[in-house]
Amino acid sequence: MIKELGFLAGATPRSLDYLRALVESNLTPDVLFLMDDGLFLPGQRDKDKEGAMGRTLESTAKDAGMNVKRLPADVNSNEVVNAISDYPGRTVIYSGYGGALLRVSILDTGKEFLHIHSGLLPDYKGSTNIYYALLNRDDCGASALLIDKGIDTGRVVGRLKCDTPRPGEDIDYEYDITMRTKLLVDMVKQISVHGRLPDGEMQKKEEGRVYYIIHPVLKHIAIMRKDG
Amino acid sequence: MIYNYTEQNLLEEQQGYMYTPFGWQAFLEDYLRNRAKAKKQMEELDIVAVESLNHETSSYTEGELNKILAGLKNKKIEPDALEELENYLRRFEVAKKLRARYHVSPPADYVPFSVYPLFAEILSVSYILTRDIRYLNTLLKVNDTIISVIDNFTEKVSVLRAIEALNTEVAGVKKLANEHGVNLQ
Repeated sequence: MIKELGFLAGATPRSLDYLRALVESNLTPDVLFLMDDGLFLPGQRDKDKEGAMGRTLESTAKDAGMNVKRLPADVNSNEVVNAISDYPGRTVIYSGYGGALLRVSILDTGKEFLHIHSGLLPDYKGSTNIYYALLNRDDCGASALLIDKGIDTGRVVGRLKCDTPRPGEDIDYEYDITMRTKLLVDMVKQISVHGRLPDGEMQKKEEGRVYYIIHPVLKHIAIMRKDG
Repeated sequence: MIYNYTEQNLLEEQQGYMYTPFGWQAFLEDYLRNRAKAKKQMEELDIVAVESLNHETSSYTEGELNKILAGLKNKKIEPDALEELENYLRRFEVAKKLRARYHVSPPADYVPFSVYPLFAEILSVSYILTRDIRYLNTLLKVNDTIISVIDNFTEKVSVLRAIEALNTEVAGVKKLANEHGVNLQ
């Protein structure tokens, strides 16, 4: 177990994959801050509804010896801000619900929020970047960054290039999660070995573009492509 | 699987487009049917051309969008035009609607319907000039919005803009699909 490494998680399959991979790699955080109040939120599947995923996450964490704090789903709620503020650790892994942005109140708690972004920064900021990279015939991958007040503008502390997904492969719930999990484990290993994350590099404001959620028609073309 | 992104009034009910389901070829074919039907409906709208002569700029946003369009015409790009368009791209993507003015308190009202065909035309021209898929992406969403309230047209100029934007969108989607080996005719 890694003391003073927290995990702030929405009740999503990605959070569960993160947690299982960290536990299997003996890189278990000491606390799970579980943001779940049973609502059906972006990033969940039908079978995760009504608290099902939250219960799985909680039992996985408890089985691994972690403390679990149940919190509302809103990452900017007072309860979440206070819980994070009171936590003595310096680094918190963040795996929230789709579309949720961390506001000033939680960013000002003095923690570093480690987020695994889908897409290779600084070129691909924003959302659903794997689809855009496929359509642009660019490399696919993930980036580890420390969240700041901009959209994916924080310090990049790690990157992982990946093979492109197979045509027809489930990108949202398989490829994307697997890729991000792999990079997260690499990053937490760095904390475990060196006591902190690599320095990484700040992004320049003018670098890259912000990509917005992909329209389903373009998403279909990216998934069904036959060119690799 | 059907293309159901134009069924509800998107000026009233925001469509998030998050984690959308996958429906293989049938979905893309239904998308094409959706656009063909919308185009036919627009062509059959009974709106007299003279009304467009009475159009006055409705808002600060419309004025700014007209400036952007002027900066994109004649197959060349004024550098400021794309920079300013980036702001409107973000604003639309965040709220899936545009306000009459930004950075004012209390927040301004939303723009009238006629501004969306103008925005669609700007995105069409931008996509043709740059081939930046982000413009095609937002154009698809703006066209979904327009189609979802297709009875709101009151000006011929808006109808013509919307039809042209639909043509550009469908041609762009087909070309992109073809480039990636996806059959879409």
